[in-house]
Amino acid sequence: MKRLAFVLLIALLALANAQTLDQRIAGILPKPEDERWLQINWQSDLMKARAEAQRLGRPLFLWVMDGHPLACT
Amino acid sequence: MTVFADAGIIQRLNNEFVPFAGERHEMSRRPSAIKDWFFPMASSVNARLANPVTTSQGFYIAGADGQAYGFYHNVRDPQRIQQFMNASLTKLRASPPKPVDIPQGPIAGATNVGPAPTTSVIRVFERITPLPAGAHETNTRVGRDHLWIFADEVKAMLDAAKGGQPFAMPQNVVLRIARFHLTDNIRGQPDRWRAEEVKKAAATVKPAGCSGDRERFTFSGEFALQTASNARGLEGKLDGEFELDAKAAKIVRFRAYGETQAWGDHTHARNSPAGKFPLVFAMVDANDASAKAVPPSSYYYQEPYKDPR
Repeated sequence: MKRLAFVLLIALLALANAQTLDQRIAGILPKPEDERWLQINWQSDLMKARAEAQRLGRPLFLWVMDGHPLACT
Repeated sequence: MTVFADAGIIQRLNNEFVPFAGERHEMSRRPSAIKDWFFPMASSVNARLANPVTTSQGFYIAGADGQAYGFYHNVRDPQRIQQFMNASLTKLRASPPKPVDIPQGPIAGATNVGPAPTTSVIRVFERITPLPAGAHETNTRVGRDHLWIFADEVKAMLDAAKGGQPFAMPQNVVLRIARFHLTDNIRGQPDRWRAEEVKKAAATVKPAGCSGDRERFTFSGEFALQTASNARGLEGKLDGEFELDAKAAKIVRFRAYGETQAWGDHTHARNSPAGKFPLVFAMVDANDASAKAVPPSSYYYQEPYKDPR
């Protein structure tokens, strides 16, 4: 009986820790309003983007930064 | 980022343009067909590129043939971006792009290569929180990057776990996290840590159970990094859990949280809070389009990412 209680206690503590980890992470992740820029169909392959621009008859809008804008900003 | 959160800008970029995002070292520094196309186009509208040390950062509007229609830099006002788009489209109508051959496929010299299918991608986020009183506005931003963990490192952890006892996280992984990801990436690209600036980097991994081919682990690490003059540093801990697919030798789930104290400015990222400030990290597995396409930032700076010892 004691052993079962101990195992349950360990399991509960593990669960509590997991929730804490997820909660802590959630506090750092971008909020939905920070992620609106991902609604834009950004391309990362320049030659594919050029080909698409030519096919669609549209200009390219190029966003160039130190660090890749899609991952490192 | 503000300008790309604007609904009108999002709508126009998706419907009137082909939006492209690129890293400036790749676009304008490294010899490749990318630079061959981008640099002459950019130089025709961005006079500052005549100076070889000037950055090509900013927004450009161009035809597929390389005709440039406009350049703007550091614009955070959606209305001004709308005007920039309108003016560029007027120029395009006056001189439309000409049809050209556009080669497809791998580009020799390109840095912007996605991970191998066997590589696990972890997305790293960071914030300064709580924000010290009086800190510059740029310290409110979220830092992002991709962390790559390679198949041989996953296999090494699976082998080490066979005894069921705690083991040291592979040194390459620990040093990669320390040197290239425990950086203050909040206000712009940071100076990465040199090997000799790593004063402490160690993490212990504990097996936490398995189910079929999936093996779960927890880990806890401590880090201390410091420049020789102590003008810049970081110290703290990183705790997390992950799950490996033993058959694929890949990470299928990864969650980590790091609490550190950081201090000091970077060459191109100044205005850090005064003294020591709380820099916190979150790391989560990522499998979306940008995870499959964009390498860790250190790749663009040609750092020894795979073997950081």
